[in-house]
Amino acid sequence: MNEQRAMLAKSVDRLFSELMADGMPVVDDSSMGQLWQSIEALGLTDVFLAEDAGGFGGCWQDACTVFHLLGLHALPLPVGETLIAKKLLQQVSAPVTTGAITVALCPDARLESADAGLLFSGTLAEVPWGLLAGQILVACDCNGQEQLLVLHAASASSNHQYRNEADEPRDELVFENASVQAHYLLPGCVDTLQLYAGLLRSAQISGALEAALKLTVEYVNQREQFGRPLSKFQALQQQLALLAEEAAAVKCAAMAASRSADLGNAGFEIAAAKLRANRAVGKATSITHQSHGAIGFTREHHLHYWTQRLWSWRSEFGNDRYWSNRLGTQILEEGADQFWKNLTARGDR
Amino acid sequence: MFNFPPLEMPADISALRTQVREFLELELSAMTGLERARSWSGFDAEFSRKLGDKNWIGMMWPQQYGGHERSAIERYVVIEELLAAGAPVAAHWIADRQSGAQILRYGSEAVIQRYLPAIACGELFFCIGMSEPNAGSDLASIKTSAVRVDGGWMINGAKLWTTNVERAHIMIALVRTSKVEGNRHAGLSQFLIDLSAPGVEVRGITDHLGERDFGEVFLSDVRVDDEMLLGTEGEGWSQVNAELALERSGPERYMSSYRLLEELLAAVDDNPSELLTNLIGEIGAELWTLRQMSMSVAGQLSRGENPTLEATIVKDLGACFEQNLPLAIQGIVGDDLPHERDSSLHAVLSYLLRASPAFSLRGGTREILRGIIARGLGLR
Repeated sequence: MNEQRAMLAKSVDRLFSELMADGMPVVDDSSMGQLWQSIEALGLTDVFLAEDAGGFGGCWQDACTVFHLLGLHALPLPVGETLIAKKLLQQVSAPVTTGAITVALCPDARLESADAGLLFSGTLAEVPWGLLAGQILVACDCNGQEQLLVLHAASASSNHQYRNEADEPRDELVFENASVQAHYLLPGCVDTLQLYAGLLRSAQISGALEAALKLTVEYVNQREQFGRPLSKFQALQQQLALLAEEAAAVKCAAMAASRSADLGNAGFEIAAAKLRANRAVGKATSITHQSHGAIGFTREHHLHYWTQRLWSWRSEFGNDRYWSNRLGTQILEEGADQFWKNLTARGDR
Repeated sequence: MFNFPPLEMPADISALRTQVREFLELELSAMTGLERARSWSGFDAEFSRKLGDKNWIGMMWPQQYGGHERSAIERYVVIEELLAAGAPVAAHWIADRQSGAQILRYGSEAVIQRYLPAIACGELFFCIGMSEPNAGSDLASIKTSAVRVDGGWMINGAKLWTTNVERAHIMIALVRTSKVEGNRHAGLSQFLIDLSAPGVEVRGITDHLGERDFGEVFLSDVRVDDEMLLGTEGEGWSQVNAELALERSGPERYMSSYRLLEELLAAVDDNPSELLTNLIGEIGAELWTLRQMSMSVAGQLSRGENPTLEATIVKDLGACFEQNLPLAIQGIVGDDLPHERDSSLHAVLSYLLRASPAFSLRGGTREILRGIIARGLGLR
């Protein structure tokens, strides 16, 4: 890890530790402003912004370092979503904004021109912190053109405030002729957002797996049964080795995919990383809960901060079936004689 | 806890890759899928000599010893291309991967000069003498011993499960040179043993596929000169562990079943089922991930770091992948995939189903590897 990235990781790690010092913070309308201010005070939402514009001038490997720490600390804020939104807005040279901005896809988006400007209709499903973030960047295909739209959550005509397994907001927002704050044409942006968000969740899963592994190692070293620590039982040792293997594989996959994202077209690598991350979730949550016994099943113990997020993130922005089908289709379309050539060419960049 | 930084490939690496591919395309054009599926178990002394001519053995060793002073990454690219093509590399594989490095690190100048150039030419083949009839995973319990005699050592004992023992020239054996009360890891030493020496008897063992890739060696009053002691007397345990690190991290630890994926892809028609497509996606994701992990370890080794935990993780995950691949493909071939008895896909699948149990035995059993990982986690 280069020095600059190591310093970023250190300061982000410190901030997230502080924010989580008293356990999981309650994030609602009254606390959101102050929490978000501490994120912006560190310049954390400007990782991608050029240094001469006051940002960190970072790349995807820097962003993934932050994403990993979001998962490691189970921080319940749309920091990753905001980073992705800002990256996309930067790609269309949009003016730099402040405040949290989340992301959403919208397969049934409709746009109409009116005297007051563009009007948007459509349903946004599972929007991470949609109402709390306030601003939403939507990537959609409308009238034959892929475009980015900035919407205000408050302009939704109705909403359902759903929550994922970890009790994080995943709002459904229905818009009917809502005014569009800004819009930008960007060919390919629907898939780009899918990939960026897939990379975000992969790296968050990587962080959560590392946290679960650390907790489990601590627990089995300290808990005694039959007169010795659980860690001295080979049955447990072998299970924890498997947990470590899953955490290692996902960490490597997420970081390698972020390197590819820095080099350009990373569709294959991000699909592989998210699928590998998804597939780690079942095995890892099973081992960590089994090793913790009943105490890990309580509300009081913090293990659920991570296991509940792991189950949620596995489904979000592409489940196993979505990514395996996408990857398998790509491999078959490229052809049998191209598989190894393409695999190596992607890495040789 | 562990670290897998992405490997940065040198900018001009694809030129070397292309050279290797063009050579292999020409050399291996007559090989069948089944022959290629033998992967790094395929033995062909003539092919090894040709690779030596191409300067692709001993790539990282000093030129004065017949090496080519290439980087670890360049060597990695060559060996993964050999594996992907299913080249018959077994003859020189062990010498190139670990024996040469051991000799270079621990051997006397005379020994290095005698063996390394011959290995790099692809003419001198090695085997590994670690396991014994009563010492497998519990390697420190070996009984083969060497005692000092005038000007050298006398070795007695037996080694078992030795890959290529019938075709190798030299064995690097771990033997006991002294007993240290309360410390079973002390008193072990490594020796070079010429398998044509008097007192050496070699016997091949037929495996359940009918192949004779491994065997046993009986050592009866085998006399070796002082210079055949490799490294320091009594330091064999740490030397062997350094050797095992070289043995456990390479691409051969996840590519042993790779041929089957190629056969599967070639057999899929224009209208694959969703089940089959998704399975190919899953295999692709796992293979890609393992390759990233293996390359990251190669990068760490090339920087002189000591990624023992990382290498062990790659080997265990890699072996699971190599073993799951034939089972997963067996579970789907049939109705929606051509699978005639005389097809290459069938032959390769049938071979790998039977060959794959060895993948989590050789080079350290799954249980031993997971024990090493547990130690790395601070559990033991």
